[in-house]
Amino acid sequence: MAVALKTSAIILRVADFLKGFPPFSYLPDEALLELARSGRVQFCEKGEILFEQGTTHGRYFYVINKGSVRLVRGEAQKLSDLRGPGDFVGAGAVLGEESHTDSALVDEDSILYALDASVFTRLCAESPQVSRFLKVYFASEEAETETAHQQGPSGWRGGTEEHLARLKAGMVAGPATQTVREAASAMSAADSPVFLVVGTDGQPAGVVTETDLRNEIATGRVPTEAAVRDIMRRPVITVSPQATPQDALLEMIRHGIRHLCVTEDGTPQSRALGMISENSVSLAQRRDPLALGQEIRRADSPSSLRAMGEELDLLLAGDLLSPDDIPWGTRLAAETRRAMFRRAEFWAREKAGPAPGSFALALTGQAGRGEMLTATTMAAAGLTADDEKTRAWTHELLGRIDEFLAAAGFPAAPTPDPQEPGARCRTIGEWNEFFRSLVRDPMGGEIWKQMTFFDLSVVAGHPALLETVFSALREEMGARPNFVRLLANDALGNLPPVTIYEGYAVEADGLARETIDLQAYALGPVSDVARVFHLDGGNLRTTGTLERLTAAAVRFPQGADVFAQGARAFGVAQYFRAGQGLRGGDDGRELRPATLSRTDQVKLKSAFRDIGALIAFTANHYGFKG
Amino acid sequence: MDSKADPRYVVFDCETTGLDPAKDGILTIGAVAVRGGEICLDDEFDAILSDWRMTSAVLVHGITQAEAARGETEGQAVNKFLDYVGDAVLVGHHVGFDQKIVAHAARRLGRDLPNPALDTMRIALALEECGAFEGREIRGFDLDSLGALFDVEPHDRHTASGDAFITAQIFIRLERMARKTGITLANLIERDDEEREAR
Repeated sequence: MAVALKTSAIILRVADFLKGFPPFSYLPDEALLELARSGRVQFCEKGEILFEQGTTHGRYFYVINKGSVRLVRGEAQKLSDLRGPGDFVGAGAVLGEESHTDSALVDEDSILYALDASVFTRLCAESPQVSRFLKVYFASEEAETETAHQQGPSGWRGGTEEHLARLKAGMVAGPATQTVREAASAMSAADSPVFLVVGTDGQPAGVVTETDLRNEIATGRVPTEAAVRDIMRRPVITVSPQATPQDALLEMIRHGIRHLCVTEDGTPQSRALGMISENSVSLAQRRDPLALGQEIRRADSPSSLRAMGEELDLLLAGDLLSPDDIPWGTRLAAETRRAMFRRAEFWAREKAGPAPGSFALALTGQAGRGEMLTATTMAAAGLTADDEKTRAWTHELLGRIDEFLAAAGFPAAPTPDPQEPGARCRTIGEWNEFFRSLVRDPMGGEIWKQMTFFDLSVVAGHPALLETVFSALREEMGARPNFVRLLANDALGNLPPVTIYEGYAVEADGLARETIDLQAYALGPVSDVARVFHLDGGNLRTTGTLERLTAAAVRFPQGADVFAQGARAFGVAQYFRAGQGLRGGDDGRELRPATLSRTDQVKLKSAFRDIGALIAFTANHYGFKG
Repeated sequence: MDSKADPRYVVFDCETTGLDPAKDGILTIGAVAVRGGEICLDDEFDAILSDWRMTSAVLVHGITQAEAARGETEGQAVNKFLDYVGDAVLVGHHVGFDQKIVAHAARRLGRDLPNPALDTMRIALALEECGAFEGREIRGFDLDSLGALFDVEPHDRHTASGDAFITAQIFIRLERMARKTGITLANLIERDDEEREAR
């Protein structure tokens, strides 16, 4: 019988390209073919305008095959995003937008696939995964990651159907002839760090990890069209489905590897059932947070406290699977690290003897706000009754606590200013004077250096002492309403990057950076803005940034959406900082966007956009030019 | 729409059993339309023919005997292709050969292929004469060299559809360059006709 080929190689080629990128990778093959068949292939030269801001959406939206497109907004043509291969532009109609919110300029000679927006809209409606992705891509709604739901922080019960189903769900596998590019796409789509190469009967033949892709492909040693067999590692270390987390951990330590393959009978000759990652072993090995808290209270030395800090990090690394876990993780980390501080204070007081008068110790800055997902400096301030003896005693106590905390692995507190020996420890009278002069002459008092003292929270001693200081400060600020406006101006200094493009963080002026300081350009600006609105509401009692933004949304309903998006963005940035810090054993500030999966890059990009919007709202609210 | 102002081009390629249009036959035909400077993915053609004995050509084109057995007869495929082409301007790389082999097959069906044709290599040569490639490193005027010049991925090379798609991507760039340089493609078609008459 004579039949024409069902699908042309040309359509397959376009569909195949789309399949390599989310959200298209979430669509079934038939849907991708239908979408590809609806389209046009266009060549556009640098400088061409694809569409202009404010114009109605046309029939097509564009997926970039090669080249890049710059999205700009307003008369000043301010850069709002730079998009490259696999990204799409002009698809706002899918989310019900009537007109283009940006103008799109072709940034370099580009090949674009113009695809039918109505077909895409219909296909999106049929796929919840695509809809979720698009919400993140276009705005700020947080996407749930596949991994968060596939892995889940539930227990490990070797051999059970539930356990096997979870292993299988997390496995990305294919034959040795599959190209590296296809394997990398599959890994990216499933957010999996490993690709299992399987033989004809499904037995494990090799593994390709993210490290292999970095070493072999990113360096150009092996082309992306090479077969995975050219870079896969052998032999594959296997375990049986009945292996316990302890068995898996021992195998990983023994072979110095991060992934194990589970096979039907535990040998490499039988069919692969799934993969076990270092993360899932850590997760299953984790300690009960309550037990950890109890042990901290019983810890007998800074070194045992250090071990408990490491346990906390391990526990958080296993549990922070998506930005949704951030509020809980933040609370857990804050409570645990505060308990560690109190233990250090207990040892310090044993040495210092009884207090001559009343005193309070208050954490400052990030620690004061309870934002301590990674081992943050536990910088504390002392407040004492108005007598020099108690002040000196408290000052000495703080010094001893610093020593214990340093021995327990906490980053050292900043060296006290030699010109101002009492900077961290003052009597009530001195604190009142400090804040009074700061509010009256913020510039002279170098307010930008003192912001951590607006985030004081008592961790030991008498909380009433801080209340006394707050009461005087509240009165002083009430008399000088311009003070908060000045703080607002100060909070507008560090703008986040406008986008992430090909692994670089791109700033509004087009400058591309390989790394981004998440604290300085994402978390810090949100904390600063949240503090401004918090103080503006007459609140001095320190709360976390998320709580402050929630309260601001109630107090300033016209900005409710912006505050809610800012809070989500803060959670996303914290999630990436925590992930980076917990993996790298540091504070996680410096992030290389190139190390993130494509989906994570979209999340972070979206977070930057929301932080930018929060800063713009603040500027507008306090009458500054955006 | 005025077809003169916005002509429909059909970029096509045939994989054949040999290089003699009179004796050899077509294994596969791949084609895609270009209109308004855009490749129209909803206007493409792909056929595999069943009734030719496999020769060494299979080594180049990778079509197996089993695949060909599932294909169409020459009559079915060429008839469909002629209907698909309609009055479009044909485009191909070394289009003369493909044009001739299809014309021979059409004649066997009592039909003909009167469509004007444009050769992407000739367009590239004409542009080169005008200095349009100045400053660019151009290795040659074969399909691979032009593909490399315009950064077109050589996917599915040596398959009819793959080569037609590569040629179409090269053509939309050449067409644009021609417009900028002041070369009208219609002139290149006429030159082809004149040459044919001269022969």
